[in-house]
Amino acid sequence: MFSDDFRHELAGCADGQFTTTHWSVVLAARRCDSPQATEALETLCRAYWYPLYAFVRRQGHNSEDAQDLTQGFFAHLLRKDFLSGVAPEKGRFRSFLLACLKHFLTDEWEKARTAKRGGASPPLLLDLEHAEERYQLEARVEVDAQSLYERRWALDLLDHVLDRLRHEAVASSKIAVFDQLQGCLLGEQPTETYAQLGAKLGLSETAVKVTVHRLRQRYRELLREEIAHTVTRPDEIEQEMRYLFEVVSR
Amino acid sequence: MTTVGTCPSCGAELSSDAPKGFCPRCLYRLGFGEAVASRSPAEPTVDNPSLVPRPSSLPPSFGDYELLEEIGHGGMGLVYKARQKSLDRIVALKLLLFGPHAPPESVKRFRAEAVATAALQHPNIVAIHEVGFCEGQHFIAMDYVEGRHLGEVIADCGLRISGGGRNG
Repeated sequence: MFSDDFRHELAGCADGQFTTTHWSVVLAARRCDSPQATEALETLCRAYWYPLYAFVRRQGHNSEDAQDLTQGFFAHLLRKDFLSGVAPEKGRFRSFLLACLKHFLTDEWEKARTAKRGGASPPLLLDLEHAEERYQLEARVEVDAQSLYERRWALDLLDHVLDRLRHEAVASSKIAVFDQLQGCLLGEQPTETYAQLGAKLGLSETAVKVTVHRLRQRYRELLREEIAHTVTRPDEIEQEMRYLFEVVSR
Repeated sequence: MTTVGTCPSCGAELSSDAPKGFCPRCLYRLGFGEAVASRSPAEPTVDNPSLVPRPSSLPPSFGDYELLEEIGHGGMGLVYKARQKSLDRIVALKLLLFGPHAPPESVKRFRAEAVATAALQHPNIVAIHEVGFCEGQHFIAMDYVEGRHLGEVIADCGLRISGGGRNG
């Protein structure tokens, strides 16, 4: 059911070495009552809550209700016993999250409203104030809620990867080089050649090419790593990447 | 979503939600190991060969075909101008994106497109000569139609039913 790598990560859970945020490990650790697994799930939720908000809005709820529903949904999801009923082979986090949300919208919303009136505090603080500003930019009203959710997911995932790439450059004190060369991630820019960029940075043209090459390699690694966080088996990474490519190609 | 420009790599329209201003399609293509096409003549050569076929990564001779130049690309594949060696004629060769890694549903759609088009005969419909699998690539060989890209023609003068098919 789980690969050796994932079993190894799960084994780490018992001795406090659990450091990964893999969705598969969250599922596998559901009986561990592990605070690290809960933290990992919260990290995933913080990264991918906006596509859910966009889904709720596109279903016709106003912004205030959508904020309450999104917050209420995460309170429901992060309940201590929620994952205990989820099969380990449940599938990708993206589809799991949407299936749970749909169920929540039909069955659990009223209960969540009651809990809210009771003064229960939200378990996950989300930047919901800015959610509506983002949503107002989603002008393509012809896109249905599920397609919008998937598109937002595919784009947010890329955003996380690019953010991580930038953070790594900051951490290694290479932000000046990164700022100059990030525009070359997808290829040399017609506006500025590698030789011109090299002159600005005090590097040879070859050194710029090598640096861009490494930047792309690291980007690929981070993209695969980010997708790996949301699937249950390593062999699903390639499939999920193909699917997300198709989503942004629509 | 409003359009804010075009991708300098693939030429696709960029919407205002493009991650950090990058083309999301190209970002995913890069994830597959593809050296994303640059429109600059000074394309860097340090990248690894692509999973997606491009002139630099495909052999000039591909089965019965000699690849001459890339003439188009879309969400499903790339199209090359090619010479069919056995019949010494110029054809358009469409290759499925992701080559040997193409998902089964894409292969099914690709072949269904070939079968559906082959069933039609009309002077304004591009004829299909062969559909097959060679060197890890699914391909369709079809008539090569000289002229401007259809998208450019439509952008310039709109699409007229009577004139569209002649503008390949």
